[in-house]
Amino acid sequence: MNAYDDLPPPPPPPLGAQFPQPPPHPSPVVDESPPSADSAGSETKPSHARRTVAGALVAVVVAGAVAGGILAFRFVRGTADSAVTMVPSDSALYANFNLDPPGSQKMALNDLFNKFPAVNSESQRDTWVNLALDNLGTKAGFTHADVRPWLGPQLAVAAQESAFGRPATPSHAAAFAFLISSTDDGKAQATLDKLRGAAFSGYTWSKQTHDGVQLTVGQGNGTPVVSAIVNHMVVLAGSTDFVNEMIDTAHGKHASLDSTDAYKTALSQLPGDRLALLYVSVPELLKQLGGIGGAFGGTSASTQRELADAYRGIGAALVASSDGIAITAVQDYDSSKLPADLKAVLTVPADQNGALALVPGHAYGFLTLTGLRQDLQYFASAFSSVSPFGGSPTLDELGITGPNGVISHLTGDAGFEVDNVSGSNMPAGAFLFATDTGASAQTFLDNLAATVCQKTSQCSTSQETKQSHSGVTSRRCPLAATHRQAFPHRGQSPAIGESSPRVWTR
Amino acid sequence: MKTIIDSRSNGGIGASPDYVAISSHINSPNNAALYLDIRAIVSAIRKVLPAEAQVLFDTTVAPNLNPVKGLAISGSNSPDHSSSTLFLQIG
Repeated sequence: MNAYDDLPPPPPPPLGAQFPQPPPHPSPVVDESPPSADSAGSETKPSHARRTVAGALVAVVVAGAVAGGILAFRFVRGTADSAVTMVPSDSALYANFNLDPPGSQKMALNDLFNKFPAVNSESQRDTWVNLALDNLGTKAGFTHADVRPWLGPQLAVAAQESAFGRPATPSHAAAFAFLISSTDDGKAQATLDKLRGAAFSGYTWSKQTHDGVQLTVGQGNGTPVVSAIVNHMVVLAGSTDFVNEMIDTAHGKHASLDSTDAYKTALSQLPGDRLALLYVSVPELLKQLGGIGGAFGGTSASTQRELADAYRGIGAALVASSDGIAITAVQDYDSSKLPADLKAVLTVPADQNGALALVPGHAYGFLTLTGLRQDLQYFASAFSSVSPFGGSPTLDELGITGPNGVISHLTGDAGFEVDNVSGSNMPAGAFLFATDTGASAQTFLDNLAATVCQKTSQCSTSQETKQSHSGVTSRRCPLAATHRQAFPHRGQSPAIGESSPRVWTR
Repeated sequence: MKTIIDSRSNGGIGASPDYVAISSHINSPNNAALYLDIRAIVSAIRKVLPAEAQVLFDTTVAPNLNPVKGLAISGSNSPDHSSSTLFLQIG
């Protein structure tokens, strides 16, 4: 046993010291004879070795902690959207898919994938991705082996309004671009070169330079194909002008989309942790849709100008959670600038829909609305003199529109449900709507039943019978093959329903 | 129709555990909502398939379709924006 073995170990060396000198040592007290060569070696070598090992261990631990911290930070935070910084501010559409989302999204996705046998292992998911890339590349002439070695974490699409309408100039024929982040620009360029020789082999290719970035432009029949690599982002576009604008944006010479208030406002209302993002600039889009002749619902030019002035942006985010996947969307507008009838629809306050209380627990599904009165008024104003049956009766005569029409007595809550009928393969359905008075609804239903019977000759209101269930009286009239019946319940929510073999009408 | 009337007393769709779970992911209150019980719809479709098709369905489609329970969509308006949510329930 060496005397030094009883001494406390030396303190760890400072970080980075290669061979620290041993600290001053107290005199040994056990053996005063001069140490032999062997024992001298055994005194000094372990000390040096220990200090070296300790130093190395500390360095490894610190380096590991730093690397782990960086990895954990990247895992938790994911990769930020680097594509949007090169998308021009006047773009009408931008979509981004993040292949390196925040940690919460990765874990949620993993949970979801594990529930599907087809994708519940890493290798299976890998196979599906390769298959998808191979299918995508069948016509273009590439395989997953050409893409995956350089594929980065961001995929994006951007478009300007002219991409949705008539081209202003041939070179601006298709102002859209696909952006794919690259981890190896050399390999990415090799794939682009391969595409030129395959899918676009009939094109005439030329090189251009814009602000130090080389563009490859292919001209063939139709939309040109323009490619460039900017800030480790592969850009594939249909317009030279648009790519030039993207290069200017990437180089800080043009405002980017993420610097606009409309984009910032839309994004601030969406979840920060997400898998994908979609942004649509409604004013930019309406500009173009107005130019192609009433594509926006056949509205007039003045209404389109009003809409373009009132609407801002639409943002949508794809978000995974442990029990499902969600798309959350938001549409911003200035309600003071909306057309009056549309404002009436959009300012209906949200509420707990009363029709929901009448949807059976085993329903296949339902649709509920809280602003049925405003919605119908919006559409019926243009059709009050029109008959759904052709000629007569009109909506006024049916008791739908007009001063005593059922529309003016609707509270707004309404629903449509489809239900499972025990013992039958055919589902049943019911339309539910709430009124502030039963009289107008009664008139409407009576008129409707009489008109249907008259027009179809399949029933007669004179054969109407009554039934009662839980204090609610219903009426029905037999059809040739079925019966039709509708009835109100005590909460003044009439319902029209259908079931096999009978259809109920009030 | 009778089941509609009875829904007022037995809780209706509001007493369905799957609906309760999915409704926590959509806007409530709202201006519009759509709900589809996908599992029930798929089950109903399976029932009307021929026997051979049912076997094929059970072995190839069902294992990867069973986790999809329902779909809900909601929309709500406020003075300066409208928002909507689509949720596909997987369990």
